[in-house]
This record gives sequence, structure tokens and C-alpha cells, in this order.
Amino acid sequence: MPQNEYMERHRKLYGRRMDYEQRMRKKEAREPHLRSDKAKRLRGLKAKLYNKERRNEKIQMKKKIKEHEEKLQKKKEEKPKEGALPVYLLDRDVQSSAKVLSNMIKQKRKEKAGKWDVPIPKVRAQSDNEVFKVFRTGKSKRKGWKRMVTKVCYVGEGFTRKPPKFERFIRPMALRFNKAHVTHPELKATFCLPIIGVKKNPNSPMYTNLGVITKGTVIEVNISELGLVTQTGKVVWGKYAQVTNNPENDGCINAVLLV
Amino acid sequence: MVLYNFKKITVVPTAKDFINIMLSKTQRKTPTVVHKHYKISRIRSFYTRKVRYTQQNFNERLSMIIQEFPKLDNIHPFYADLMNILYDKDHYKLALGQLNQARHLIDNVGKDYVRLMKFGDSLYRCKMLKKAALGRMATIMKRQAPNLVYLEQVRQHLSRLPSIDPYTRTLILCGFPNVGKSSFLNKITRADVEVHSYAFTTKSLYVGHTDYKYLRWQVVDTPGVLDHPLEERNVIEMQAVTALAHLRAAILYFIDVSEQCGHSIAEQVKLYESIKPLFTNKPLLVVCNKVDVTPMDQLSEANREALSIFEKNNVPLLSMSAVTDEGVMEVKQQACDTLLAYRIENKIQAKKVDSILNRLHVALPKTRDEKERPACIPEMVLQKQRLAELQEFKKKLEKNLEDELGDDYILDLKKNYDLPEEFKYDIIPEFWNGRNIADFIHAELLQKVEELEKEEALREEAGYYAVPKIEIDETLREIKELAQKIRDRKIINRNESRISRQSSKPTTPRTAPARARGRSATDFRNRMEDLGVDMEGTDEAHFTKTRGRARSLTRSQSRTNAKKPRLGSMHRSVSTSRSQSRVPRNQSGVRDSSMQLKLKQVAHKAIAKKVKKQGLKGEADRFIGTKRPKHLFAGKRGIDNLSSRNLHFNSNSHKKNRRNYFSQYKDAITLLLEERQKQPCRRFRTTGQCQFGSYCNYSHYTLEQLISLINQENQNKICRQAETINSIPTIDSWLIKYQQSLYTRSTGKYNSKHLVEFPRMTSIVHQKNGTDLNNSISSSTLNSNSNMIFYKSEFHEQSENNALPNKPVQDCLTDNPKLNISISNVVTNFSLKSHLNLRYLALNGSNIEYRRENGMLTMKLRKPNATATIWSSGKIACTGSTSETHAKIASRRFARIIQKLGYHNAKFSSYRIVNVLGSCSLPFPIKVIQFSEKYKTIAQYEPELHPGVTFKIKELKATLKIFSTGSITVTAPSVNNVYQAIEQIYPMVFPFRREKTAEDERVIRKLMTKKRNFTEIDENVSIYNSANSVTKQNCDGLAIGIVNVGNNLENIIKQKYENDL
Repeated sequence: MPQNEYMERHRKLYGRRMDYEQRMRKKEAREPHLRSDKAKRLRGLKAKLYNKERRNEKIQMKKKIKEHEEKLQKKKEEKPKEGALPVYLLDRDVQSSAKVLSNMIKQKRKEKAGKWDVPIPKVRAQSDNEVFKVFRTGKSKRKGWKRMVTKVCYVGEGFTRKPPKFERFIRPMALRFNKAHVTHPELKATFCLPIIGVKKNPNSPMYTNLGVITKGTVIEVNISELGLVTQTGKVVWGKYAQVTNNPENDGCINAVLLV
Repeated sequence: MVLYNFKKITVVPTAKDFINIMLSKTQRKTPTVVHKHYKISRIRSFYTRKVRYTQQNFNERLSMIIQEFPKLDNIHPFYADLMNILYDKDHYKLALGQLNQARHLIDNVGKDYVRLMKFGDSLYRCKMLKKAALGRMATIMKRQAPNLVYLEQVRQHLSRLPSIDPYTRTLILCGFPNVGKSSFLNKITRADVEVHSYAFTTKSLYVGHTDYKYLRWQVVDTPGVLDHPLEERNVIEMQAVTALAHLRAAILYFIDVSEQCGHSIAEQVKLYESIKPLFTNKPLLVVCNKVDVTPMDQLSEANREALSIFEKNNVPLLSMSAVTDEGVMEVKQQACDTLLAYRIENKIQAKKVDSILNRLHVALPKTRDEKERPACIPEMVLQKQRLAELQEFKKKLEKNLEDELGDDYILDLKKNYDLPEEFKYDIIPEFWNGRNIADFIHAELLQKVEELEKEEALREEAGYYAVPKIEIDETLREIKELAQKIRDRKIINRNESRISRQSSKPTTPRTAPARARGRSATDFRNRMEDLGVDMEGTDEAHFTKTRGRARSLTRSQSRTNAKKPRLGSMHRSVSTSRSQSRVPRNQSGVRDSSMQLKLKQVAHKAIAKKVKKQGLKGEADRFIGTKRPKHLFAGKRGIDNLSSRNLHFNSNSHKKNRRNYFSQYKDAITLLLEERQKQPCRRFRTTGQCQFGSYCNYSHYTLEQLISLINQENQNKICRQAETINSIPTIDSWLIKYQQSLYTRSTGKYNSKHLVEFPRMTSIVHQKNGTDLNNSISSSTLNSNSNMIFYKSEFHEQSENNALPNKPVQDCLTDNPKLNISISNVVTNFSLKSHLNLRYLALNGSNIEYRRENGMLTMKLRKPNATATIWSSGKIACTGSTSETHAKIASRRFARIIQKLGYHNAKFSSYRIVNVLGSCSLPFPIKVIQFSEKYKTIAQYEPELHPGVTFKIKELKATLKIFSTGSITVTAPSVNNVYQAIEQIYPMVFPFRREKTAEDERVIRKLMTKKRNFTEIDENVSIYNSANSVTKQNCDGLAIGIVNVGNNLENIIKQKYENDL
């Protein structure tokens, strides 16, 4: 019964077969053909994945080759013409009109953005139809005064539901979130922090009241974990963050801390 | 049996592969096509399935990995320790623990996203959620990459570990490296272990197996151990230590006597000392190896001194050389023996042994006397033994033969056959005549055949087979013949019945008369006699006691007698007087279950046959295609056909009746002629009766009767003559004749009815013709009639004193006794005592309006004009009729209509007149204000609210509205009350009359136009015209008010009573 490193032992005792090297070489030579065959044969999602992978590989390969080539190449240095400006003086006075235009546009955009000085200044409007689902009630489901929130929302800890007769808005348990992944823009680090409340939902004050969290909503998070300190030396524990994703689509809340 | 098999652990894929496998599996095994327009629940379930499926797959795969890897706490400490050394227990546990954690996380992710998916409202959102879910699962797995790699390596290494059974007999070889442990292993087992001249050739445990005493022995080769503290030992050494520590085995401590391994004997002994604690409680042998290089006797003094320790400790010291095989087997044997002894000893000490030992007993009988009792060995055996000793007696083997003969040798096995020489080389077929020869081979076959033949011969001699000649005497022959006849007959009967059964046609025609009973005792007797059976003396035989015809008489008794007593119910059968329930029809006369079964089959067959033949649906199908086929019934007169008529006409009864009838109409002459010829009937004369009556051949007429007949004839003659003279009759003559005929027909009885009726009729005619009611109608009997007439002609003029003759109002009416009281509305109320479906009524009835908002129906009648309001509770209010009778008729009619619409249980009940609205216009206008002042307490006059005076009469329950124009409207619970109310108010109002002004006229006119029925007041057409024109120009508020109020009032009252209802 072979035990322990029996393969190595066998190799040690009897060596490799005589044409081992040749076989290996041939196998290697066959590799590109096999690959192309495979690439041709694959269909659908498999093909997509395979090609993507292969493309990345190729990019890496080419980069590597280029690196090697650069190492080998001898560079010729061109002498500057007389009267040439140094690099740091380039683009000083010569301002093309296109550049002016684009600058203007950029400026305008900035002004517009200034309204909301937050990472995501513009937010897609969310209509009531999108956010609420009409909940049919009554014995014959004829009444339609009840609404169910279909977006993610934050519900405070002390919240107790009203009796169903008076409860106009239902916030389903599945859609209640109390943690958010908050990124500190300067630290470039992300933390999973508990939400304290919804500061503002830009779409509607009602959403703010209901605690609906959509993209662009400003939420207050508990950052005591981060250990940030104010100038006076107190630990900061509540800070605002803006939601950067569509939580209802992603199933999690990603936010950027507003520093 | 392998206790620990680590070879079966499945491959642990790398993180990347893991994710790929899972995702592609999801892709493969869940549906892939979904569209936006699908129902949202379908889209949701599509994506939910994907998420859930992936999560399940992850879970399953991870669980499998976690389960398959051995748990260090559960396996043998030897393996646990070995794994700890090789793979680091903490790392191993951590890796598995983290996988477990990952599994949990993935489960949670799956659960969360499935929950979120429930609120997905679009394909896009669901898709994104699915993507996020799978992405998160993949991320979690990606974090497990190093763990997976580590586990894969562990798996590979584990699978290559030697499979050591920690519980069997084991020898462990240990000692310094390079002392010859592996060479010893190679010597005693078939394990092909590497052996080299350098230290640590063996880097891990090896195992080999050897046999000794028909037992399997496991030999474990350990890597060499160096002499240093436990903490400093490396992995390779530690493996050896684990084996030594945990395996209960014999230990062979190897010492290189030649010191070629690089360690002196003293060092080796020292090592022994240091690892001695590992040898405790285990059989131990010290083996001095490589004796071929330095034999034991050439050892130096110091070395001998060192080795002497073993002797002191009672450890056996053995010497061997793997190169020369010297002492190898001895070492092995001794090691095995000591181990075996040790294990047995251990087992005996254990508790379990007792139970086995109790059952074992070896008997060793004591010698009872001087006699020797040696084992009995047959002489032959002893001889053979002796021969064998003397001259190596040996059988010649085939091999020897082959060697001798060389190429000429042929393998001959037939010479060994256990047959006589001449048969040995016969060719024997395997099969003969389809039988296996081998089955018939018997050692003593021939002998047995001989024996049998002998026996047979003996029997023949003894006359065993001789057939005796039987003499048949006469009687016996007869019996036989008879029996033969019977048998033949039976066969014939059987065949006949078979043939008759075969034909499917009915055997007897329907019209054939009922067959007489075929069997009888006499018949049987005759037939048997025909056949020649002697039936004498069988009068009392059993067969003669047939069941009587009058079965019903004795039925109950016979039934009780016939009933077989049931098992276990003997005592019950005693009380037979009790009635017993009838046996079901399908079980009556059935003997047992088998018979029942048979009957069932027979019945089934018969039914099936019938059904098939006639194309029926089943047994119960009694379908008849055409009930009365035309060709059979057309032109037939039924029972009154010609033949039956003729038969009847010719019948005596008919003739008799006919004669009887016509005899009534005989003339006097014919009677006379007949009677004259007959002689008088003596019987009639004496008794006054004769059974023959008028047909009697003798005359029943007395002499006087005959004379009267003659007289009558004469009179008739005269009459006939008179008729011929004046043939044209007058009415008077006809009447006389008629009277006469009446006289003659009913003997003297006068029908007075006719006579009384004539004058009555005429009086009615008179009444109708009479124009003046006051003159003609006075009788009290006609009061009711007049009432009716009064009601019918709604606004018929009626004088007060006529309708209510006893009232003291007459003086008031001297001026103008005419008063028109019009009943404009009678409201009645009744119930149908049945809930009504209004919708159904509305849809099915006519003249119906359905007012859904009010929850009621209004139904209208043209004649009598009325409107009913119908509620679903079955209550109905009928309004609009103008008299009480009309109201009742209308109400009943409504009820009837509803009944006819399908409410058959509707009942006309709790009918009641609720309110009657009447109006009356006095011929004079009234000073309303003065009037109201006079009757302040009773009357209310509020010109702002209402233009009329409201006057209530309590005892009549009537409310009157008195307007200045002289018109009065009354509401009261009945028509009578209305009249009475007006009666009462008239004298009160009368004093307050005033002159008619133009205004009043106009208003009255206007009212007239509203109600055309006031025909009597159409006197002044001119005024009418002028009034009409005035109203056009300028309408007096008062007048309009009245009209409006009149309308309003009606409405108000209607509503009020509707509300009451």
C-alpha cells in the first residue's frame, strides 16, 4: 500500500518516463490551440466570463511584455527647439475658446450643485406611486386608504405600531434597516455604523418623517466607534452621511460621511 | 475493517472554483427566462428561487466539507495527536470554524434577500436584489480562500497517511535514526520502505503487516528520535513520539551495536532512558542491530556495561542482523509472543472476560485405575507410518511422470476413475434422451434391479396379479344395465341442456301459455318405472313429500323449521316465535359463500349478455326508444273499435236496456194493443211485485188503468184534430202548455223559485232605471248597495241626510244640501309575510319602478288606479286609490301579482287602511280669521306657515285644513271619519261664510281646471274663461298657495305614512 509521499519516492526510485520533457513541451505548445478551441466553442454566459478573464490575462501579459521591452529600449532624447517654453509655463496665456466654453459649463454646473453641497447633489425624484403601494383593506378589499412603503426605511427603536385602523403607512419589517456602511472620505475606510435617524429625504418631507431612505437621503449615523474627537476633546458620536446607493435595489445602505 | 479512512474526503475547491461551481449550478438548475410583463409574483418567485437555491447549495457544500473532515475530539487520540502535529490543531479548527461561520453568514444573506425580494415591485429591482445577494455570498466565500487552500492541503496529506489501526496487535519500531528500523520492517513485512544510509530517511510513520501464528500483525516504523527535550523535537520526531505514546503495542527499541549511525551505544541507552516513560505498561524488547558488523561478544567493556542496564530492568535483549537475516525471525517471534501474552493477560483482567470464561470448560478426566488408555490408532495407519519411515513410500505424482516421459507425456485423468478397468475409457455422454446421466448413476443400481425382479417373480408365483373371474347373476346384470341406462340418460340430459343453453333466442314465445309444472312425484315415479326401477313400496318415500301448494299458509312455520340453527346460537333458536328479519333477496336459498359467488357470476354473465345484446347502458337501463310508434298506433280506435261495438250491440244487456228505454215512449195505442194480448200477471196481482217488470210476458195493468189508457188515447185523438185546425200557436197557448207539462212531469211539486225570481228581477231593473236616488231607495237592506254605488261613482252627489240620516245637521242644509266630498287618496298598508327580492321583482314584473336608493319598488295599477310601494321585508303601502274598496281591491291585486311572480307563500295579511285624504269645497267662502279666533283652542291659523286653518277633531282622529275659499281638506283614518269630520265642521264653519268675491271665483275655477271632475260647477263658462285669463296675468298668492298646499299636503301625507311603514 503506497503511503506518505509515494509519488516522489517513485520518481526518486525510477525517475520520469523518457519522453517526459518532450510530452510536456508538446502539451505546452498545444495550449493556445486548446484555448482558442474553447473560446470558439463556449456560448452564452460561460463565454462571456471566459473571454473577460482571458482579456484581463492578455492585458497583463502585454503590460509585462511592454515593461520588458521598455527595459531593453534605448531612448533617444530630443533636444528642445530654441524659444520653447518650459513645461510649467505652458498653458499660461493661450486659452482656446473651447476651453473657455467648457470652463463656463463647469462653472455653471458647480453653481447648480452648490445648492446641495453634498456628494450627491441631484437626486432622482421619487413619486408617491413608486414609494408607496396601495394596500387594499376591508372585508371585500374595497378600501384603499392604506399605504405600504416599498423602499428601505429607518424606524426608530421606540416605535410602536398604531392600531391597524389608524395606521395609514405600513413599513414592512423586511425593509427596516438600522445599519449603514459609511465611508469616511478622507480616511477611505468604510464602517458599518448604526443609524440614528433620517435627517432629510430630499424628495419629500413626508418621506423624511416616515424615515424612507433612498439615494441621496441624508442620514445621521453613530460614529462613536470611529473615535473622532472635536476640537474641545469630546467624542463625536452623531454625524450626517449621505446615502450613495439605491438601498432598495442593493439590500444594504452605503453612505458617505459628510465631513 | 478500516476504522479511520481519510481517503474518502471530497476535494475542497479553491474559493474561485467554489464560487464558479455554485453560480454555474444556479444558472444551470434554475429557470433562466423571465420577462417584464410577467405577473410580479412570478418575477419575484423566479428571483427568490435563484437566491434560495444558491444559498442552499452553498450551505450544502460547506456542511459537507465541515462534516467530512474528522473532528479531532471524536477520533482516536493517536490520530488526533498526529493531526495536531502535522497540521496544527488550532489552525485546523479555526479553518473549519470559519467555514461554519461563512455558512451562517451566507444563510443569513439568503434569508435577508428573500425577505427583501417580497417587496420587489419590478423586474429590475428583483434582479438587482438577486445580483446583490449572490454577490454578497460570493464575497463571503472569497474571504475563505486561504482556509479552503489549507483544508485542501490537509485533505491531500490525510489521504496519504498510512492507515494504522490503533486497536490491533502492533509492533512499533523505534530508536535513533539510521539504526536499521526500516530494514527490519522490510525484512519481516512486504512494505517497501525506503532504506538509505543517511539519517532521517524515514520522515513519517510507515506501516507494514506480517503473519505470525495465523494472526495479522501490524508493524509500525517510526522516524528516528533524537535525544533532546520534548519541546525541541521537530515534527518528524513527534510523529514517532505520538505513535509510542498512544498505540498499545509491543515496542522494539533498536540499538545500533556497530555505532555506524553516528551515535554511541551509551547515547542510545541514554535515549532509551529519556523516552522510557513512553514504554510503560507495554511489552518492550531491545534489539541490537547490525551484529554482522560487530558481534555481541566483541563489544567493549563500557558498551557491555551500558547494555547491562536492560538485564537489570528485566528487559529482554536480542541481537540480529538485517543484512545476514541473523536473528530477525527470533526477534519477530519473541516480540509477537510477548505482545500476545500481554494482550491476553490484559483481556483476562478486563471485566468482559468473565462472561466468556464461564462458558469454557476443558475436561481432564483423572486416571481411575492402573489401566493404560492410550489413543486408539488403527493398525493400517501404524503400518503405513512404519513403511514411510522405512522406504520413503511415495505415490508417483503426475509431475514425476511428466519428468520421466518428457514430450510423450499426456495428461490422463481417466485412469483415476473409480470404475472397473474395461469401463474406464468409455465415452460417457452427459445427456441421454434428454436426461442427465448423472442423475441415474447409482452405485447399487444393478443389484437393486435384480432384487426387484426377484420380488416380482415371487409375487407372480403367489398369484398376486391373477384376475378372478366374476360370475354375474341375473339381478346384478339388470342393475348394471339400469345403471348404464341412467348414465346414458344423464349424458343425454346434459347435452340437451347444453344445446338449449347455447341458443340465445328466447326458448318460449311470449304468447305461449304458462307452462305447467314439469316435475311431480307421479311424473318421477312414472319415469323411473319406465326406466325399469322398481318403485313399489315408495309411497312413504322422501320424494313423495313434496311441498304443498298452499305455501303461504304454513310459511311462517316452515320458515322457522327450515332455518338452520346457527353455530353458537342454539339457545336462541328455541324462541322461534320472535319475528326474524327477512333474508335479503340475493341470499335467499343460497347454501354457502361459494354458491353465492357462483350465483353472482351467473347473474353477472346473464346481465352482461342482455346488456350487450340490446345495447343497454346497464342492468338498470329500461330505455324505450319510441314510446308509441306511429305505425302501431295511428288510425286505431283504442278500446272502441268496430268489433267491440258490434259485440256490444249484439249483447243482451244492450238489447235489454234499449228495449227498456224505448218502452217509456210507447203510445197509448201500442200499449193497449200489447196489453190486450197479454193475460194478467198472477204474481204481480198477488204480491204487487214482479221481477220481470215491464218485460213480463203477462200484463201488469189493471182494468182501470187500461180504461184510462183508452181515455187518454181518445183525448189525444181530439187534440191532434184540434192542432191541425189552428196550427199557429200563441205565447199564451205555449205558456199554458208549458204549465201543463210541468204539472205532468213533477207530480204536483211546484218550483217556487221561478215564481219568486220574476218580480225581483224587475225591481232591480227598475232601480237601475230610476234616476233619482232620493226617491227610490229607502229600504235599509239597500243601504249597503247604495254605499257601493256611491263609492263607485266617485264624485257622485250625495245628500247628507241620505247617507247619514240621523244627524242633526239637517237645518243647515236647507240652503244647499249638495256637498261634494271627494276622496282623493286612500292609503293602505299590508304585509305579505314573505321577504321579497326587489331586484327579481323589478326584472320580472311589469309597471314596476325600482328605486334602489330608497330600497323599494313602486308598482302601479291602471284599474283601480293605485300605486304600491313595496319593501323587501314584504310590507306594502298602497296609495292613490279613491275609495276604501278600491284600495282593498288594489292591495289584493298587488299581492296577487307578487304571488304570481313566484312568491307562492306570500300571504295577504295585516291589511289596514292607514289614512284617507278627502277634500270638499263648500259652496261659500269662509272668514278664516274669525273662525280661527272663535275656535282658538282647537284651530291653528298661522298665515306665515300655512294659508289654511288647521283644525283637529280628536275623536275622529281627523285633521282638517280650512281655506278661505271654502275648500276643506281632511285627513282621517277612514272614509267614514272623513265624512263625519266634514259633517261636524260644516255647522261650525257655516256662521263664518261670506260672499263670493271675484277672487274666490277665480281660485275656485283654477281648482276646477286642476280637477276636471267637478262637473257640477261648470255653470259659468264665461267666468271660467276670465279666471283662466286672470291666472295667466296675475296669480293670487293665496290661490297658488292652496293649490301648492294641496299638492304638498298629498305628498306630505304620503311621505308620512311611508315613514310610518
